[in-house]
Amino acid sequence: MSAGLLVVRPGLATTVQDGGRRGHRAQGVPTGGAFDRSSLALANALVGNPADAAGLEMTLLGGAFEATAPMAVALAGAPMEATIVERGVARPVRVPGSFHLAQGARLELGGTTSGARTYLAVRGGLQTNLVLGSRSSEERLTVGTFLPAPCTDGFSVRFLHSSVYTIDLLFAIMSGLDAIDESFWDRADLRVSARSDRMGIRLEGPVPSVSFESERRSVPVGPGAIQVTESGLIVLGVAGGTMGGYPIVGHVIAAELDRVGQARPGQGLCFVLVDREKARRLDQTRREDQRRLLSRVAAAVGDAGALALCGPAPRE
Amino acid sequence: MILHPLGDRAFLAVFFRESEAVAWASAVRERALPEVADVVVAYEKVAVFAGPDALDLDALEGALRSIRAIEGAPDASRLLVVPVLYDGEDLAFVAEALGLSIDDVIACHQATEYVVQAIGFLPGFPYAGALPDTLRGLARRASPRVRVPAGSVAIAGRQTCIYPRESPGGWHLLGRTPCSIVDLEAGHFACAVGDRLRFERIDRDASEAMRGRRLVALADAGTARDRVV
Repeated sequence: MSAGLLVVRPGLATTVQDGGRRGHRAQGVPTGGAFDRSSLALANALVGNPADAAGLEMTLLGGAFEATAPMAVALAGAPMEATIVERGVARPVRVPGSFHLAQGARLELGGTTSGARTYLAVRGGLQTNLVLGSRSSEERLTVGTFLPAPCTDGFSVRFLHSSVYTIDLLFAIMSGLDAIDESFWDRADLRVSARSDRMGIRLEGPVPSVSFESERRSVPVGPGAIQVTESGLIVLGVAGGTMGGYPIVGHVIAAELDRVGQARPGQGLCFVLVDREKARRLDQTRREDQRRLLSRVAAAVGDAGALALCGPAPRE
Repeated sequence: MILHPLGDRAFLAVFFRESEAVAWASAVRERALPEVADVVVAYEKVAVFAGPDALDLDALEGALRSIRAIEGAPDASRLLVVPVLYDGEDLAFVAEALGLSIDDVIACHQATEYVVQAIGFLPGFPYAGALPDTLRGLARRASPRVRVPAGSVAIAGRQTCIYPRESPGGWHLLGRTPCSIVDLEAGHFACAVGDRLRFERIDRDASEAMRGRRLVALADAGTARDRVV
């Protein structure tokens, strides 16, 4: 059997994700990709991959995966119970961290203890089908799915001890095209609905009053747009449609979009309005923090990152 | 043109006419600005999304404000001729609701030239308009079908559409094209916003013969013969 991961249990809503596909929104194709791109980037950095290499996005409940060849694997994002089972012996591993899976070893994952999405990266990246330049897929994994990936010998275990995972449920937003009474954001008691997915985070709670034109035409929309529907607010996710026919009353700013993907059903969340200058400053800060973290990880992975792959070279 | 922010990394340009929006969008695409990842036209609006690595958004905004479009360049609009077997489940309903015969519905639908005004809902799903007065005004089905077959040609409100693949849907089905308008794996999308669209009635034998063929738009309106490859 060729090298890769065999899906023993798929988990709740596990999909293959990378940096997503660019340049096809005009054709109605969402960008897709990891909902929390910085966590995918961290998982990738832990095994010496480029930030956008394809890995697994696991939501709320991870799965169980068997390595058909020795390989280096990393987990990052929402903390999740994780155990490696090898020749009947189980040993727990921590998130974020990277470790070696021997041939036949299983990685068994439980639920997320906080946050919603955990990313699994494999050294060399998953080599599933490319469609329009990306391996991002909305098809959920099923039992028996085989995910090809290069095999790697001799990768040592590394945990990122200093990383503290906190979930802040205050999101900075900019106002949208449809004007509302801005004090709505201070008063609204909003909670993440269990019907949330990669297309959108649905919110339970009040909706602001907004004027609906009778013959409203759809407008192009993107991830982070906050739509008003009769059944509540929806924050569009990375797999959301490219056009929307509902009023848009806000946009989660780019710096905070990754964290939207970590909102758990039942959690309360708040929005605070910022202007464009503040949004750009926050984006700048986040980029610098991310760059510092990734270069620290790259330095730590160091020698391991230089190990030769024993399988076919990754195509990235 | 009015340029609105769409969050902190995208812009929405609003025009008076749809043709202005189409022309400006192609002018933006032609500039091939490295900061731009996506340019999306819908009706009289154009959204421009910055790529994840773009840093100077103020410069991008300045560049967008400086772009002027030359409208209605004669060869800018392509024509897509869509062969249709008019055997849709809703033909009888549509005819009755509009007070027409089934043949009138078909004749009116294929006698009109449409313009693709937006693409969305599904990858490559065209919203095209405008329907002739005789076919206008039907609201979408109160309860959408769970499964509309791939290639279905349908109408609702002032517009007509083609379902690129099987999906749920609430429009009224007039018929089906046997041709493929989207092939994601191959990166093929038959139509773009601004393209002209015409439907051509075919019989069952022709439909069988054309099954699965890829539909391509023509740069020149005259030669409808070579519409499929």
